[in-house]
Amino acid sequence: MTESLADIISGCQSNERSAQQQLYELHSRRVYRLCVRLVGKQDASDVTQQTFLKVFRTIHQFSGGSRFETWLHRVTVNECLQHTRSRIRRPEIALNVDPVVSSQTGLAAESAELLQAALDRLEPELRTIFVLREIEELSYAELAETLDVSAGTVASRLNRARTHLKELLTQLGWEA
Amino acid sequence: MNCSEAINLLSALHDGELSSDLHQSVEQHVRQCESCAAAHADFVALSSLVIEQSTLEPPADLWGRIESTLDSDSTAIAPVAPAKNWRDLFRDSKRSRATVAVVLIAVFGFAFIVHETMDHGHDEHLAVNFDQFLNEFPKSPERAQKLLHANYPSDLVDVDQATLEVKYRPAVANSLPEGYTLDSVHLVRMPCCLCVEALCTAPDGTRVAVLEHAVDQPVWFGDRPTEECDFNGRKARLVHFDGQIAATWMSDKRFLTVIGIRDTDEITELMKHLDPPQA
Repeated sequence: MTESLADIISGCQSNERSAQQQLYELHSRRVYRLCVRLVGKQDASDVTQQTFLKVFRTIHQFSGGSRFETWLHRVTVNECLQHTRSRIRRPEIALNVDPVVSSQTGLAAESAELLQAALDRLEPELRTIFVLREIEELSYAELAETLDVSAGTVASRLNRARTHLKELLTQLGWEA
Repeated sequence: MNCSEAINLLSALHDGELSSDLHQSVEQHVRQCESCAAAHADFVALSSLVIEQSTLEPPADLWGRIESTLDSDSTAIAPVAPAKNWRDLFRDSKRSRATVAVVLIAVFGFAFIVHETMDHGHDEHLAVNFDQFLNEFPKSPERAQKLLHANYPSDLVDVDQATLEVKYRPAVANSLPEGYTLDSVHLVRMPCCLCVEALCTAPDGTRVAVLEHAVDQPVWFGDRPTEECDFNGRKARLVHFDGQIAATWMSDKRFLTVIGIRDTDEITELMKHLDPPQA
């Protein structure tokens, strides 16, 4: 029988391993996909691991005041940003990330790689908001809650992200 | 509507996040303005470039790795266990390499005092603030510090000024481990007492905060599980949060708290310098 998300969360708050595994199975693809976009494929599994460990260690703080998915997004984004900052502090580690493996071929694959290359060059905060909006399809209200910023900041940051991303893509040879 | 107004609303227009009146106004401007229309067209083109990578799958062994770490957590982190050899508690070196921070007893002491004296509703409010501080520090120590200063009046001082005000030599004035720098010292007026709060930078660039206050109260770590460890005969309470460690211990008649430490070696090192054994 499938348990409800509330039951699974409650089980996780009691440190029940089966509930933790269920939660992982429900959300790991989404978390991993977001990590690939934000930190690159080479580090995505490590950051996904850190994200779920943090989720299980702090899930007692989840009060249900927001949607669980929003809380999970916030944890994931924070882990990704923390990871990115630690890489910036360790310059011996290359910041370039592996291209996202794509199932597309031809022009679609080229476009996907171009987009990822431009995203990798975007400031982390701008990359985050663009990915959350365009790929995870979060609303402005969800973005504001996830990133702990105002709705006005969401709009202006998205504007900057898109404008800068377009400039980066153009430098890489993209033509709209 | 002019260009400078419209340009800031183009994303919201593109995402359908404007009210109907505003949507209509911006849309009308875009129809009449070549540059705004071009910018809007760029946003549309960008969206069409985004291709869902639905085939991305996490590695098959990832859950096993997580489970293995959770298993070591459950054996390594016993809640308020009797003091034992702290080295045994942190075998997971990956986790313990997380960001280092030293957090200040004043926050905990203050939270405890109010926890004991205020009504439940206020108590929850404090817990939220406390969580915000702990949650914020790993992401941005500066923002966490601002959060603290927004809640309690504070003054930027030097060590000598701090000594004059609090009538004791702050721990950060003793010495810091090699490679650490003292970035700022603040006096923070909390309801319990005047606290010394210092922000330092570790050799790897991570930030470290130190809080010291003179109230003889046990510390409060909220609902987080704590453990007691023995550091060369000195008892410290530790709490894990966000991949970091916070440690607090009594020093003479005051409390020192360290938050977000990478590992217990760092606690030992900081203890040695901030709170050297009395002759």
